Amino acid sequence: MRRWIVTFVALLVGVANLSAQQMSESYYRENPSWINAELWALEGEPFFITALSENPFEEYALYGFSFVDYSPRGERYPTQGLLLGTIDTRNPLQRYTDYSFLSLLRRAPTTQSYHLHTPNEIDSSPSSQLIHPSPFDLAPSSRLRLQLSSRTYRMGIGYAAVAHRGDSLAVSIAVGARGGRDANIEGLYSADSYLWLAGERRWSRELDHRVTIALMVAPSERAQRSWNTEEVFGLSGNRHYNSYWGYQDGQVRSARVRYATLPALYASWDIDDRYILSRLNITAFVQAGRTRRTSLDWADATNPQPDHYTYLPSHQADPEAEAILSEVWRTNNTDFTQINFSKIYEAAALQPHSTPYVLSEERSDLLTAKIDLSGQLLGTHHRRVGLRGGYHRSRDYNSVADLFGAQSANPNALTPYDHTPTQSEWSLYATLRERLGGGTFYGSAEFGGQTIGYHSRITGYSSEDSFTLLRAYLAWSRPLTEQLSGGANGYFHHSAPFWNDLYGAAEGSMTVNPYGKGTTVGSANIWARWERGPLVTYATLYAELSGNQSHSENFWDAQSSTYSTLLAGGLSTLCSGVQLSVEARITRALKLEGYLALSSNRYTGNATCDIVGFDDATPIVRATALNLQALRSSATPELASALKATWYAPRGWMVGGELAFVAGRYLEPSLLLSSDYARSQWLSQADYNSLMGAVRSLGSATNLSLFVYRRWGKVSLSASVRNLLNSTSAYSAGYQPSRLNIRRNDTSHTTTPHAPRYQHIYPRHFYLSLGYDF
Amino acid sequence: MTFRRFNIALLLLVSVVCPLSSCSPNDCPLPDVEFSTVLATCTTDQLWAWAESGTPLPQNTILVGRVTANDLSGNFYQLVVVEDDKGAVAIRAALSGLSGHYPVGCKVGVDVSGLIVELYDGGLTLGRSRNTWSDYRVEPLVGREDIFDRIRVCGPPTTPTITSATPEEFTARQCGTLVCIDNLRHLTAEAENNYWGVTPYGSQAERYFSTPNGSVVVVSTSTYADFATATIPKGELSVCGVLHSTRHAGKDVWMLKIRDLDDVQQTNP
Repeated sequence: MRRWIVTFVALLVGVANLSAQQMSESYYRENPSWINAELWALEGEPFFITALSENPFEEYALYGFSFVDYSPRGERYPTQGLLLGTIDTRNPLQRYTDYSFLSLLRRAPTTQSYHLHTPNEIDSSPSSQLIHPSPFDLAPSSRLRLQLSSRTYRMGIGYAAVAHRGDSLAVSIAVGARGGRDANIEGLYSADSYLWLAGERRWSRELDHRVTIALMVAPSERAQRSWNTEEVFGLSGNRHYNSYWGYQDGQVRSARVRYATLPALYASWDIDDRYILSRLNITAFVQAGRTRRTSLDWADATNPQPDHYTYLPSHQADPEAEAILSEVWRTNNTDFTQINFSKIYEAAALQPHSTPYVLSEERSDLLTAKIDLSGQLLGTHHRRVGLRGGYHRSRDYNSVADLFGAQSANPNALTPYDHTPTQSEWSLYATLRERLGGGTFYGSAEFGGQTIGYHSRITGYSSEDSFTLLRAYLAWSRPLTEQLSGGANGYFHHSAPFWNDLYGAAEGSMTVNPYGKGTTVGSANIWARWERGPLVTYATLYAELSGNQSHSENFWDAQSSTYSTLLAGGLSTLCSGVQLSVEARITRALKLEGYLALSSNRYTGNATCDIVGFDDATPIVRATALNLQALRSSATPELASALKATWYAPRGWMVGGELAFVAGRYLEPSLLLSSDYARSQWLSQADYNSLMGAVRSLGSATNLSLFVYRRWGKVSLSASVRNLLNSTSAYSAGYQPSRLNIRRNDTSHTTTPHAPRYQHIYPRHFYLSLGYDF
Repeated sequence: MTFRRFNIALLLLVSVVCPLSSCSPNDCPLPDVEFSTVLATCTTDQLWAWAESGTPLPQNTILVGRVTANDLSGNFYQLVVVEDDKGAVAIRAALSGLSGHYPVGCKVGVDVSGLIVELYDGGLTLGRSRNTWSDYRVEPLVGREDIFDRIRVCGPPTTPTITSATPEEFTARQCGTLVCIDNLRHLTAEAENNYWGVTPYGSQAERYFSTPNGSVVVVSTSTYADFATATIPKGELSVCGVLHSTRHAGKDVWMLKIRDLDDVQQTNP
């Protein structure tokens, strides 16, 4: 009893300290592929059992192409399910799962598997990561890990343990923290910690009755990196120039930091039934917390961003002014090439009751609650039926985080918003796996409904829309010969659009996207695997068609100086390609792997949009065409390739290297600038042709990495160096802003699109991990 | 492992990890705000000697004064007007949001070394070079480095003293200073002239006022000012603004540029 009290108190203290951790702000653009791929790059070998997918190319692509903007099948936003037990933990009101939560699940003592465009036997997700939290699935053990890195953090420590008490009780714990400043890019840092606690109790061996409960929390704080024009990279002489920081009293202070604390609770109850269903399961998942993202806001003062286009030589009307501004950058005066916090504090001291600058926070108070009731049909192990439901809510609002010593802010410094999107859903589903035609057939179907709601606390506006949820997944695989096996799968998915694509303008103009319809996705995939001796070859041919996508974005119309909203619908894309992987065991100690993918990701037709004033929904233009036909819909490389060599050296060393090459990358087009309206109102024909043509290339990129691993009994060492050649001239990602640049001189003015913004490939960096099992 | 070792290890780890987790490298100390100490080496009335000569001001020429007008309302585009006890000068700076750093009433020290001083609408204007074709006949200072380095804040804002006088009492050397003229009445003919800054021609609207003894005073407002579409009050007004001179009906008359609607008081409706 005493041991349990001590343990409980220690856990309370630990959790209290973790949740009291201070947090600060924001990301500019989070790319879906980076979240998962960076996870692999940062985490290295996971703590516990991980089984990877049957598709070797997509398994490699989880991290292998993380040095560039990459999503395996050209998807614009991540579609990979994140299943904890039978529950997909993703919050549909968030486009991306919080990085810290993903990282926690990877480091937790769980069994994990990836199903990349292969069935997961739980739902109809085309791709998913499955995490089983049961401590009984893992042997009793404990592991301490120390980590060093030069990217995003410097040091980390982690501990994970699993303990069993006979056959009736098992517990697992993982706790750790890491942080520090990035060694290569100024202004970047992270401070993360995590805690995982799980327990499983079993009764009645006959009925296999078990209850599993897991509590998890991973507070995080991460500074962000800016996207810049090529002019700014050139002026600063730094391919990794980051405009989001400045010196405050001699110390580096980041103005864009993202914080997240999203504790979650998981509970699962399993029992053999013997009456209706052979095995019953009820699983519930609740996650609630807050994310915050900070940034500088201002009114009636100079723009604090040092790389604002009006501060650049290219914006100046005369050569003398160009020369003056170029000199500021050439001399690298950080008072003006970075955020000048001294001037911000001075402005606050001059007007303490109406300071022009504030550090604002965009907050989201999130709630996700899901429940799943399912069971295996009597007499079978491979037929399941179930009912699942979920409710999600996100109160999104902004507030002031720092007044820089002033007492109150200029009332125009922060434009308030406070709205609450909600989404509820329910569905009935069934899955089965059967032997069929000498092979294995898997089928899954799900039918239900989704309701998206919106409410603004400022305007009082509310709206609600309902959509049908329909998902189906079919897969069949069969060995054809002793060496050759193959199969095909396909899925169909119709669901509600993302809430912001429906209500993106609702806060100001109380307008719902008239083109907001459910999104429909259909996909087909054929694969073959051939194994002969030491050679294993895997090939996949796929095509995915997405239709009826809607989109909403707000933009500043420089011509009329009004904030406007674009409401688009009817967007459709076709992503298709072929993936090939070859693995060859040259000798018992030497393995070579080769990967190649060729893909095409294009819009299949034009779409339509309305443009309205954000504040009052004044129509600016209705039903204008978006000229997207055949344009590339994703920056994912059209060619992705890699060679990997692994040498299982004497004395237990494992040494390897990989060389990756990507090409055929292009900026995604700006929807606004592709519109007939933009072409007729703002852009010259030459500019329009330039934007819409295939000239916005991101170029090709190469990455060489080395890794080493060794175990001495209970001690393990893993180390890797990535981008060994420090090849940073290529872009990792980019985007085309929707804003226009108006340059006025004494007699005339010209209007051109803002220059694209990029990030360059991250420089050479390392990871080192030292583990001890005890 | 046993549960006992499990608990001990857990306590040790939690006690090490949790303090580490609450350290953020972004917690920076609050800086002390210290205003610059600047000593004046000349006054505004001494700038008249260089006006229109095209000769850059000599080195080590420092003015100290208070800001009387800035770009807050949009009526003084890219301008900071600094007034000392001898007169005033408008400094042209190509930067939006100057009002956030140079609020009205704050004390500033201005290094005008090497700058050009010109006359525009009767008042002194400073810029980096002469250009008789550009606004105010000078090119503006460019770049935050040069602007912030030249115009340094020496003290927090105080309410500036405004001289009230009749048009007959003004002198040419007062151009650029902040003045008030009482008992003005709006001379209006067409309805559209009832707004401060609405005009179908150009970017400056001129409105004509009369004193009790018949002197005409012009009030000039930019069409981009945030009060441009506000209605001019009827009756007798007290109007404050930066004094200029201009030509009207073949004669030199005084012109005011108001900073915002608080500069206009209705004294007798």
